Amino acid sequence: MEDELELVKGCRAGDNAARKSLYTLYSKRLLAVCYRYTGDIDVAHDLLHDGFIKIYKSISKFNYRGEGSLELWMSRLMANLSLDYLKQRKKMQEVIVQEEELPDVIELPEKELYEGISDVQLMLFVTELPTGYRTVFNLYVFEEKTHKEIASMLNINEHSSTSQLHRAKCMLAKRIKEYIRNEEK
Amino acid sequence: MKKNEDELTELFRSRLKKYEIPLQEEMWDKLESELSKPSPRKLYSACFIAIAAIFLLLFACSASVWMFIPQEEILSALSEGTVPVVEKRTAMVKAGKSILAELPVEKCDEQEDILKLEEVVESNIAQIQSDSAIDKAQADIRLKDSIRTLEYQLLEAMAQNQEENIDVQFKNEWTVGLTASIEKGKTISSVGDNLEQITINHKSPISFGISISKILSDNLSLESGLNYTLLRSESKDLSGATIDKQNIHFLGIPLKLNWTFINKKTLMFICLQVECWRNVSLLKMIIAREVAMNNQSQ
Repeated sequence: MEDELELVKGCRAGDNAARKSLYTLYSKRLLAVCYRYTGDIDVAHDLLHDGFIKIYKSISKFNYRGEGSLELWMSRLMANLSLDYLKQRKKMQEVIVQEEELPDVIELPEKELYEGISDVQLMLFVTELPTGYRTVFNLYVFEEKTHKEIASMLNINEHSSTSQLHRAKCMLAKRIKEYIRNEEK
Repeated sequence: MKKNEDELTELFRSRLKKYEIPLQEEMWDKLESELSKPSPRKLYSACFIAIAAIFLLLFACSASVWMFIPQEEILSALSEGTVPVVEKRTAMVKAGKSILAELPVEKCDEQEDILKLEEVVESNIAQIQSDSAIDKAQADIRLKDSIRTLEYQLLEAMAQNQEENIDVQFKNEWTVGLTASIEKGKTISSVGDNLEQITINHKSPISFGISISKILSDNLSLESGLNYTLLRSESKDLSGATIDKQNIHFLGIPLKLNWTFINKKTLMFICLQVECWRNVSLLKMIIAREVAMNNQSQ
């Protein structure tokens, strides 16, 4: 906790060593956040770069609220930056019209089976989702936003948010099943 | 908010929440070099300050010229640039009359004054030419001296009757002018719909327009015109991400009634300004000398 505060103070003072420590400590995780939203690793690198410049410039506005608050603040900043990028490029509308009927209840294979899937593979499943589904999924699952909040943030209606999340989950479950099936062969 | 989390949500959240992607070292070097550059915002601020300083300096210079240069020089400059030739000549005649005490002031109209001045000058020339001891070059010099003396007397006469002249010049006239202004922006903190803290940055309002003013009397003038104002606001959350942007283009027709209730010759110009869409307010105490200087052109 004290380390976090020291880092914040150092960055506020413009101390380059503190800036580098902050970067070393959180950049990998924050790059993953950008990649999870954009689905493009090159864009994620660019956003990480811009995001850190923004962090250093606006760290004076950050209020420390206990352990983890610094990471949460930076993570939200990166998420917002990624959302801005997607909005600017009008990628939110990217959805897939699915002809097949979607199940009401999403079923996964046995826990023992899907637990063997690597984190890298799970990340790949998320990044392969259509942008609209992926955005709602990220906001709901990782930012823990409600559908009302998501609807407000993305300028869509609540029903659309619910529907997109359900479709995202269906697609992910399908990919997991396919992956396990392929692994068994 | 608590949710009934399903298995799939829990799987992705637990596995990817702390997921990390390795980075190359050169990424930091690139970032570090970027951080050492001066930010565009700082450059913008520096430019803004420089422009503001230039305007302030120009204003200070103008004010000091207006306040400290002797009246005669200002009036001389004004008379050369703005007083029509006929008026100037008329005034010269009047000044000449006061010296020579030959011509009754009240009974002469402008044309007579001019003719009589010409007569005086011609008689002077004749007198000079008739004098055999003086050559022609000396006659010219004396003639010029004579005219210069008359002109100097004219300026003195104008200075004495200055207030009267100004009244004549400005009464019952229309003026048209251009207005432009930039006011200081303001940043306020607020609480958003989801109880999150947001910062609303109201940027500097930019306003410009055209105004037309009718001087009704010595103390009263009515002003109207067309004014355009651009109001810009931007709200951001704690992380600095933009939540909302708002631009308001405001086109208005102002109606102002200006009443000057003290107008001292040398020091103060105090006015009460009433605007139709605002409350009555005692607005400004402007230190000026005799004539309020602004960008209005007639």
